[in-house]
Amino acid sequence: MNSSTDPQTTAAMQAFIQEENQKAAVQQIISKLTDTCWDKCMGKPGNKLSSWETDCISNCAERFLDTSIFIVQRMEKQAQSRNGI
Amino acid sequence: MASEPSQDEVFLRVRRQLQEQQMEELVRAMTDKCFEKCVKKPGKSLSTSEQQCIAKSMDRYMEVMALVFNTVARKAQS
Repeated sequence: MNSSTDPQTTAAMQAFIQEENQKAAVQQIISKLTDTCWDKCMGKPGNKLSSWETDCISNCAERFLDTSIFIVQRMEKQAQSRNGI
Repeated sequence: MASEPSQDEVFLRVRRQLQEQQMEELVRAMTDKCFEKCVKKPGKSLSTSEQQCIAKSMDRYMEVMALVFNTVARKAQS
């Protein structure tokens, strides 16, 4: 394990872990949205996505992200007003 | 005696393992969704129409995932 203490090796390792973590986080969001929006939007599987399904999926993905942002912001506001008292 | 793997080799192996995990997760998700959609009343075997439905469902699942990815990417840029 003497190679792992080399600073250059450690830096490369940290960069690798950070990159893989970021990739995993993106993949997790994509999987979650695919799962949720599939349930909301998909009818009987056809030969291609209908235009209604396409619109529904992209609206679903965007609004899910908006909802997540909204909730974070609202909780921040609530925390601020509690601290302000 | 086998030499110790280089760091690049280790990274490559880890990356490959992560990709395998991701593939397993995709198979799990597809099985879940396509079974739900296509096998309403499980019989003695998968019927031809159930198999056709599952095949379409798999293709649509990939299409939905790509669409979600593009939508998120577009939103992240704006």
